[in-house]
Amino acid sequence: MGFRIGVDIGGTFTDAVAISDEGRIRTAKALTTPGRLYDGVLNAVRGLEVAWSEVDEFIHGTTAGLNAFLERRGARVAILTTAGFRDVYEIGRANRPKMYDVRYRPPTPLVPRRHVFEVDERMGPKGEVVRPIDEAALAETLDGFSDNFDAVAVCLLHAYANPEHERRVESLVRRHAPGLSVVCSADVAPEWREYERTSTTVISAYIAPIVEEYLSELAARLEDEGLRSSLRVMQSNGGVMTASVALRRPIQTLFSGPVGGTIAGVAVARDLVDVIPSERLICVDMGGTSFDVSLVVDGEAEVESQTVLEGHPVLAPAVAIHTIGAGGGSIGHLEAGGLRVGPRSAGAEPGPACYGLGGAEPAITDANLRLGRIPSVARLGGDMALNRAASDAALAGVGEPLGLDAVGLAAGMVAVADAAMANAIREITVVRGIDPREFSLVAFGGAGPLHAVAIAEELEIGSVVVPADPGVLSAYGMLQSDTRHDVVQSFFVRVDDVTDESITAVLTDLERRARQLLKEDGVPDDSVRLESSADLRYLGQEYSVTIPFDVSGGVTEAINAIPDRFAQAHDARYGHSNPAEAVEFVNLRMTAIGVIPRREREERSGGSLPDPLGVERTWFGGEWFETPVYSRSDLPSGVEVAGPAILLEDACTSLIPPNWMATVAPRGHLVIVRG
Amino acid sequence: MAEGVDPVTVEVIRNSYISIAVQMNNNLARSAYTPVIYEMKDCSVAIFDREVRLLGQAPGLPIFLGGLDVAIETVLEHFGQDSMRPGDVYAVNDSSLVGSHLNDVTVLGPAFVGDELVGFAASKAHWRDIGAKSPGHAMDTTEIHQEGYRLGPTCLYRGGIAELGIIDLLLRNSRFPRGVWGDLQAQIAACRTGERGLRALHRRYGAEILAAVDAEIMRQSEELDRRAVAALPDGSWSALGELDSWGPGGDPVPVKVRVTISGDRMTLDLRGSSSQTPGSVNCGRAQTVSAARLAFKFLINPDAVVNDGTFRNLDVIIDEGSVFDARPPAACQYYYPHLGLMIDLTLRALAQACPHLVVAGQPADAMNILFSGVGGDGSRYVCGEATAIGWGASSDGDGVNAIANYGAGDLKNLPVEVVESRFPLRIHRYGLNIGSGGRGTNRGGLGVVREYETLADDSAVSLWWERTRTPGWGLAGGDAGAPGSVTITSAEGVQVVLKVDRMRLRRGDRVTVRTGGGGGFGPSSDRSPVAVARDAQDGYVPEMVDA
Repeated sequence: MGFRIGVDIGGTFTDAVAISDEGRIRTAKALTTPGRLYDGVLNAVRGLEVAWSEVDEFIHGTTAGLNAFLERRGARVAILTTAGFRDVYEIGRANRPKMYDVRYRPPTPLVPRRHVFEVDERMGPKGEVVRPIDEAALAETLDGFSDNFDAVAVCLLHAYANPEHERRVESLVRRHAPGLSVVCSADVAPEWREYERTSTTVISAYIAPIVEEYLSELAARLEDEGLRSSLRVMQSNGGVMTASVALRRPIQTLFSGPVGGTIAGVAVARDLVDVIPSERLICVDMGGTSFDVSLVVDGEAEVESQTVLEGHPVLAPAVAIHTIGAGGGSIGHLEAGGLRVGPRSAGAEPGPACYGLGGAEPAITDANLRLGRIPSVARLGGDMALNRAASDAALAGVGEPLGLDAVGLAAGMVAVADAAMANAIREITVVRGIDPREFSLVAFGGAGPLHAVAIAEELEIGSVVVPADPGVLSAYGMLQSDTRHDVVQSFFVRVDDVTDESITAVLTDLERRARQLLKEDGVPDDSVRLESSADLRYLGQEYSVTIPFDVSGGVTEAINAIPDRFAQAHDARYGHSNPAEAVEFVNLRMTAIGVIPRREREERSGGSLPDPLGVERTWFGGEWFETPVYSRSDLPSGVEVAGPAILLEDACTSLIPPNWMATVAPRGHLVIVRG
Repeated sequence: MAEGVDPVTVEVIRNSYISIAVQMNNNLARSAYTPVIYEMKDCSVAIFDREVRLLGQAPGLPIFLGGLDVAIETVLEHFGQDSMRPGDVYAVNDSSLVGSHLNDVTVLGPAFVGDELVGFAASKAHWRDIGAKSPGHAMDTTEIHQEGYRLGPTCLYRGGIAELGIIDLLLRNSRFPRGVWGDLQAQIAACRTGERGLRALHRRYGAEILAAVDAEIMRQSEELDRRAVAALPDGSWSALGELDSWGPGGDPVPVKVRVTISGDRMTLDLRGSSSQTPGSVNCGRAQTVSAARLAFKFLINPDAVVNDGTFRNLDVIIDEGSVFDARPPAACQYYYPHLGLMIDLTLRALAQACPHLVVAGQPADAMNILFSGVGGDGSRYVCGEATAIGWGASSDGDGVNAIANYGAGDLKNLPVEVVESRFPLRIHRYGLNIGSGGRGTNRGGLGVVREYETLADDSAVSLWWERTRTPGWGLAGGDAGAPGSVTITSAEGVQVVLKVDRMRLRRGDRVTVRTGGGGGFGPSSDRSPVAVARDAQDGYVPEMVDA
C-alpha cells in the first residue's frame, strides 16, 4: 500500500493526514515544537502509523520563512543597488495609508540605510547599458561583507529588462564575499517598479538562510527515518514544489501555511463535484482573532500577483486572502452609548470571559455560549471547562445600559458580527464583479461553521460546506495539490505593434524556465500542463487585467483575439470597457502545472440517524428551540439532519438553524442547504 | 439611545453604511482610468440620506473630508428634488460652488425605492485634463477661465439616458478624452454601487426605522467628538505663516489661524488671512471647510468613521472674499497650498495646549513637477508628479522621512522605472535630502532629492515649489527643517527657480528638485547619544567636519 502524507504546522498543533491509494484517510496531531519544528512534524507523522517505506509522497506546509519574517529573526542582509538610488528601499512609495494618523509610522525596513550600498552602474529601460559596472569600486564595497552579512540582495534598476548587470554583480559577490547567499531581483521578481521588486528581493534574502536550514534539517531527518520519496513543499500560489527547488525560491514558501485552508477548499470542492455546484466557492476561516476570506473561481483558488505583508510589498503570486478582525475573541463594548463588536480581541489570554482566565468583557464566544450555540457538553480544546457564570455577567454588564439582558446582548453581538463578515465578503466580491449568490460557502476554523449559515443567509447563498476532518484541513488540502510554478516577464508593447516573433521569443523563454523548474521537481514531461496569460491594460492605465493567452491556435490568432477578450474581461471586472481604445501588454506569464493523479477520498457507506448526545436550548431568530446535539463522527454518509441541530466535533461546532438541512456527503463533507 | 430603535440594528446599519462606502471606493479606485485616481487616490465617495446628511464616506484624498454634500445641495437647488428620476446622473466642478479646482469633478446620482427618493451617492475624482491653457494644468493662471471648463449643476444622464451633447462637450474639450470617458464611467459605477446599497437597506428596514437609526448613529458620532474636544484644555491660541507666492513672480500669501477651545467646541478662525489672490492660490468656502475638518480629524478621533454627526462641534470662521472664500473669476488651480499651511498652523497653535497630539511643522504642499513635450515617437506626453516631503517630529519620535504631506494621504510616488519607461526622461538620483530634517530631541523627517535629465529636444518643465519662507518649524525647542529648492542646469548655466510654467528645456538639461524636511521636537541638546550615533551610521545627517 502507498500513502501520500501532508503535514501542516500550526501555532499549537502540527497536523498530519495520510491518504492511501484506496483513498482511505488517517489523521494525527502532535504538539508543535517551537525551535525544533521538525520534531513536531515527525511526532505527528508517527501518529499516523504509516511505515516510512510505504510513503510515496510527502508534502509539507512550512511556516519557517513566514515566522522568521514575523518575528524579525531573518538573516543579516546587505542591499546592493544602483548608484543614486540608495534610498529607494526606505522611501518606498511615500504613501500614508493611515491618512488621519498624524503620527503614522511606516513599516520599519528590514535593512537599515547603513547596510544599503551603491554600485556604480546603470541600465536603461530597454535593457541598454547606460554605464558599465565599476568592478574595482564594487570589490572595495564588498570588503568585509563576509563578516557582517549572511545574505545579499542585488536590486539594480531595470534589471527586469536586462539581468546582465545583476548576474555580474552576483558573481563578483561570490568571488569577493564567498559563503553569502545572493539573491538577484531579476530572479525573484522580474517586473518593473523598483521599490516593490527590491522589497520582494530583500524579504527573499532575509528568509532564505532560515528556510534553507529548516528544509535541509527536515529532509535529513526524514531520510534518517526512512522516507524514500522527495520532500515537497507547499507554495504561496497553492501549488507544491520539491524542497530542492524551494531552496532557490524561498519567497514562494512565504504563505505556505496560510493558503492551506483555501487549497483544502479546492480539494473539498472536487470531492463534492457531483453534490453541489462546487466550481465557485467563498472560503471563510474564522478563528479566535481573525476572519479570512478567499475565493475559488472555476475550481481554482484566486491567485494575486502581488501581496502585502505587514506593509512590505511582495511580488510573488499568492492565493488572495482578505482578513478582517472578527473572531471568537472579538469583544462587545460600548462607545458613545452605542454597541460595538471588535476590532479589539480578547486573544488567547485572558480570552473570552467563559475561559475563566480573568476576561471581564464579553467576546463572541461568550455570546455563542449564552445562546446555546456552543452546547454545554462542549469543552474547548477538549478539556477546558467553560465558565457560564463569568460569561453571563460580562454580557449583562455591557447589555444593561442598552436595555438588553445577557441573551439580548449575546444575540445582538452575533448579529453585528455576522453582518460585518457578510460585508467583508461584499467588499471583496464587488471589485471583481462577482455575485456571491452564485457561490457556495466553505467554512472552517474553530468558529467558522458556527456562523457560516447566518453569513450565507445574509448573502443569499444557497449552500454551505463544512469539510470532513476540519481539524487537519490544511494538511488535507496539500495532499491534493499539483506541482506548480509561475514565471513572469515584463513585456511593454502595444498590442497593435506587437510581432509574432517577439511574443514567441518571450513565451519560449518562459516555457523553458517553467519546464526547467518542473523538471527539477521530478515532474515527467507528459504530466506538464502549461497556461500562458497576459497582463493587459488600456494605453496609459496603470492597473492591468490578466487574461488567458492561449497560443495553441496560432500566435497571430491569439493576438487578434486580444482586444475583444480584454474588453470582455474589463467589462466583467469594472463594469465598463472601451473597445475603441488601444491596448498594451505589461507582462507575459506562464503557469506550469505538474498534474498529480488525484487520490479520491473513499466513499463511506450509509446508515441511519443516530440518537443525539443531548438536547440544548438554542436561540434562533428571537426564540428558544430544543435543539438536538449530535456527534458529527457518528453521522453516516447520506443521512439528513434537519435544523435546528448542532453537530459537535473536536475542531469545531456546526450550527444548523431551523429551515436548513445538513447532509453528510459520500466523502464525509457536510453540506448544508436551505431545507 | 433614541426612542424606539434597537441598539443592534443601529450597529448593523452603521457598519453597513461604512461598508457601502468602501464598496463604492473599491469600485472607483479599481476601475478609474487615470493613475491620479487609482494610484494617487485623488478621489472621494460617500452616501447621503434624502436630507443630504452624510451616512458613510470612504475618503481617498484626506483633503476631501466630508465635502460632497455641497455638490448635492447645489444640484438640488438647481433642479429640484421633484424633477429627479432613477437613473439620473449629475456633475458639478465649479470652484466657487464646490471649492476645489476644476479638475475635481463631482458625479452624483439619486437613489430611489420605487418612486421614493431615499438618498444620494456621490463621488469626486480628479480628471486629468479638462481643457486648461496648459496640458493637465497650468502653474500661472490668473482667472478661472484659463483653468478649463466649469460645470455648474449639470445633468449628464436623464433617467439613464445620456445627454450626449453635454458628454461630447466634456470629451471634445479635453486633451485626454478617453481618460475623461473612463473616469466618468468609473464614477457612475461607484454611484450605482452606493445607490444599490442604500436601496437594499431601505427595502429591508423601511424609511421609518432608518430615519431613527440614522439619528442615533449621528448622535453617537457627535457625542464622541464632543467628548474628545471637552478633554482638551480651554483657551485660544494663534499661529501665523506665509506662502512664498501665489504663483510665478507672485507675492507672499499670509495665513492666520486662531484656534479656540471652549468646552466641547472647537473654532478655527481664519480671519486676517490673505484676501483672494491674483494667482491661482484660492479656493471656495466648501473646500476650506473640508480642510478644517481634516485639521480637526488629525486631533479628534482619527480612527472614528465620519458621518453627518461628525464635526458638529467644529466652527470655521472665514472672511468673505478671502483666499479661503474666493469669488469668481478667481483662479483656483492651486486650491491646496494655503489649506496645507492652515492645517500646519492649526497643529502649531495647539502645540502648547496638547503637545501629546501634535507634530512639528512640515512643508505641507504637493511640490509638483510636470514635464511635457514631444517624445521620440512624435507623440505628446505629460509626466506630472507630487514629491514627498519630510514630516514633523513629535513627542513620540522622529519625523517620518520622505512621505506624502497632510492633504495627500495615500498618494504614491511614481516609480523611477515607470517614468523612464514611459517618458523621455532619465532620473539620476532619487534619495533622501540629507540634513534637511530639523534638529531636535526628536529629529524632523528628511525630504527627498530627485534629479531628472531630459532626453528629448522639445520639452518643458513646470514647477510648483513652496514653503521656503515658512519651512517646517520646530516645536518645544526643536529646529526648523531645511526648505526645499530647485535648480535647473543647462548650457546657459544654473538657474534657481521655485515656480514656473512650461520653461523650455533641451536634451541633456538637468532639473534637481529637493523637498524640505520636517521640524524637530525638543532641544537638540537632549537628543539621546544612541539616536545621534544611529543618525551618523545611517547618514541621515551630514558628516561632521572638524572646525
